[in-house]
Amino acid sequence: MRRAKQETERYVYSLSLAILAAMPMFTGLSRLLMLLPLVLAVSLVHKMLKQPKLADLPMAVLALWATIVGAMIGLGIGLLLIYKLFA
Amino acid sequence: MAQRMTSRSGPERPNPAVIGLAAWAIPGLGHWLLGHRARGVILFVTIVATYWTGVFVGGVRYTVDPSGNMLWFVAQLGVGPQVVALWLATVRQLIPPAVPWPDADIAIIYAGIAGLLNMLVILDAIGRASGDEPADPAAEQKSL
Repeated sequence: MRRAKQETERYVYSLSLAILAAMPMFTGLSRLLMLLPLVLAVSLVHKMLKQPKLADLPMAVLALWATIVGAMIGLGIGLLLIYKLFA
Repeated sequence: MAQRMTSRSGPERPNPAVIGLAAWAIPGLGHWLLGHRARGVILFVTIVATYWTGVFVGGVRYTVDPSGNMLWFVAQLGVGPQVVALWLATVRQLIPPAVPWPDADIAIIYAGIAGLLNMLVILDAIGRASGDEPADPAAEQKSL
């Protein structure tokens, strides 16, 4: 009984993930959005090691985070434009 | 452990090797031992949260997988013994197989980046312990 329940849960879990994986918005946008907290972690650690005063840390981290994200978006737009021009 | 004096700051500083090992064992512990306690806590939370976000998204067996992603696994080792423990648990089949998140490659990136960030933290802690960088925990406490 317990094994059957586990198998059913596993099947439902796999199926739901398969459905989610089939949605382009889920796979594409979620992957991009998952980069935002990662960039925040990188910004935080970088500024934590470089910033002498911790009081200045939040603004410095936000500025670095915005810079990196902005650069990534700019790079993406640039590459897209190049692709559109030459495709 | 042997303590040594530095020529620059005067007071005793811990052995850089010990600080480096501590920073590897527990992210942020090196800074904590040097007196930068706020920094140590924030670094610990950031690196551990980043690593475990990757593990939770991708699952242990997929994320901590030297056979499939050797270089990323080496990067993960920077987080410390918890990676080795997870790997051993995987090898000994203590963790059941699970269906990974559809975008599980982002999980490996999270875990690997966490390890690389902790390597930076380790180097910074060793540098502070060696007297290469100014260590002024008192000023840091005042700035909070």
